[in-house]
Amino acid sequence: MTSKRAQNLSFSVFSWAVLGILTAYISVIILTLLLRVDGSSLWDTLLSGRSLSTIRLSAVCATIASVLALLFALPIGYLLARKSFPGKNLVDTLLDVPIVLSPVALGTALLILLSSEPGKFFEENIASFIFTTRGIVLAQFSIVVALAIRSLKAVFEQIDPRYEDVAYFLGSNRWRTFLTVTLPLARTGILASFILAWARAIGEFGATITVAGAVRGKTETIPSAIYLGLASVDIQETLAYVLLLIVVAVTVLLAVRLFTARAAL
Amino acid sequence: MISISGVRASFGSFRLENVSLDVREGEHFVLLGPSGAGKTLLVETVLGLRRYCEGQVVVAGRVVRGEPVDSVPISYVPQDLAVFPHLSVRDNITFGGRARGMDRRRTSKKVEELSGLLNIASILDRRAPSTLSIGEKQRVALARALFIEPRVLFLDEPFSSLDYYIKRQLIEKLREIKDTLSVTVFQVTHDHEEAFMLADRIGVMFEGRIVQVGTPLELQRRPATLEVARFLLAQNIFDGEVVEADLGSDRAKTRVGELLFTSTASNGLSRGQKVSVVIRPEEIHVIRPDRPLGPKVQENLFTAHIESRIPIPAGYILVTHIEGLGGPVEIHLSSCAFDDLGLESRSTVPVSLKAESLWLIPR
Repeated sequence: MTSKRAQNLSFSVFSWAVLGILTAYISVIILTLLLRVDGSSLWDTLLSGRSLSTIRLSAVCATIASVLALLFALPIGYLLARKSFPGKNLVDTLLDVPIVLSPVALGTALLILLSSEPGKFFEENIASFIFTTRGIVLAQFSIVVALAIRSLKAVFEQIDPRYEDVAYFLGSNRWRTFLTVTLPLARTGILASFILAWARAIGEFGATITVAGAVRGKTETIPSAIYLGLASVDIQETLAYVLLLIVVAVTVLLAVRLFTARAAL
Repeated sequence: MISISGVRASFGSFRLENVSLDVREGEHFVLLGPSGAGKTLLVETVLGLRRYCEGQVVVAGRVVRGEPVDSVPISYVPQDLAVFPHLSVRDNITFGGRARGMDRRRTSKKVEELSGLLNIASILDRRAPSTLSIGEKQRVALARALFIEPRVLFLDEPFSSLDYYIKRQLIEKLREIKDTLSVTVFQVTHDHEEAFMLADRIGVMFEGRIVQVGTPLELQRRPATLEVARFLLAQNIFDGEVVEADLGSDRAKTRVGELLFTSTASNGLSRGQKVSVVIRPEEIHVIRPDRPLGPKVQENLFTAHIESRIPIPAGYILVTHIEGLGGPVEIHLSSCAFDDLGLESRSTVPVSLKAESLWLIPR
């Protein structure tokens, strides 16, 4: 009995120790940033016209990319959660590719697509993406749509299909059932998916810089600004943007946690 | 109204095996079976929520094949009730009305009718169904299902998680509704009492097969197989051999142990056939010494030695021993009869294993 108790105790100590080490590691990273930053220079950087334009561009592009991703992810996530069809595993795997692929690789693939003959035709006659803000949205969308599909599929899987069956027999067609039963039941999950997609989009760098570049005042997002700041050895400017992204990340994670906790009540 | 013929289907490792049955218009049909018998799968197949590979399901004249029927109003109350958590009680009930474009006046009138019928007027304006008790949720789900005036109402274990008192109340209510609204009901349950109290006919299902369909009385007195008899709690099952079978008068004599039993149904058996002799504990008549024997209890008279008595809510189970029979014989007795017979202080009691209640099942 004593030996079992000792083993239980050692397991608890081990778990707490691992938790403590990792929490300390992340705290030390943030703390080091805070210690290195110069308060007055931080505000000067963040409130400068260039920064505000970078922040605005990042927020607008991330919002558009996330809304577009959600519009695709809602029906696709629902279909993957509810239906079985031939080749579902293949489609499911294909849709996951942007999640596991390096963003730079995805950006490169997009660039090659846009440089192909049909891509060039599209670029020249319909809409241009390379080195434009549209390119930022396209790159961010390509990354976050897979994330949104994955999270919305999980959200729909948690909703008992019985609700939809009952609604159907009560006289509701599939559209009405989706809009009046499924979507309201999934609203917390949809909101959480949107916030996560937005946070991922605003921090996206690899695909964005490959497709849209990092042209100051034109296609410069917050991560691109960090990259440019490092390249020009402007540590205070870089730190200001890094801290801004950390604040965004913490706020988003807290918001998601609060939403999901409230929904679980 | 519902016709299922030769339906075979497989769902993972589970199969529906050649299921055939008919549910008549206006009938209350109960599909009874233990958990895991495939009752819910059969209901879902009939509703068109699952596909079958052979046979045919017809509901209200339309063939169902993996697509829900919508040619006639059908309501479905699943086991977990599926009361919409994001809608108020009133909006839950009127959901079908909105989906079918029912006007406001008719909607309010129907809500009033149903809330009166199901005693839910006081909770109509409750905004969060999560605050309802399980009994209230059952009523709301039933009201929502009845709102569209269905021709067929499918109920999957509707009273499974209710305590006894509320369950009895709702069973009474469902009988009343069935009479008032003359709807065809197809209900699934594992609860014998619920099935016997509500059903016009019962179908017994084991491991994806329908083993017997009959009225409650037929099932109680004439179980088709030993497994049906055991499932319906016929505790007294003995091995015997037919020694005399008169097909003309439909009477048989069967030897069990050293005793000879008369039964009023020969069940098409022949002399020398090995059988299981079944009698339900409540069908054994305890004879009052001070009263003359009625015509139905003049055969199969024995003395039962009381070995123990087990209290149950309705009275007692007497576990007795009849010399020459072999196994124990259980007798159900009401508290009132138990007191009248003075069984507190007695160790033996004369009994009749009524000939008309004795049933023979070929082994």
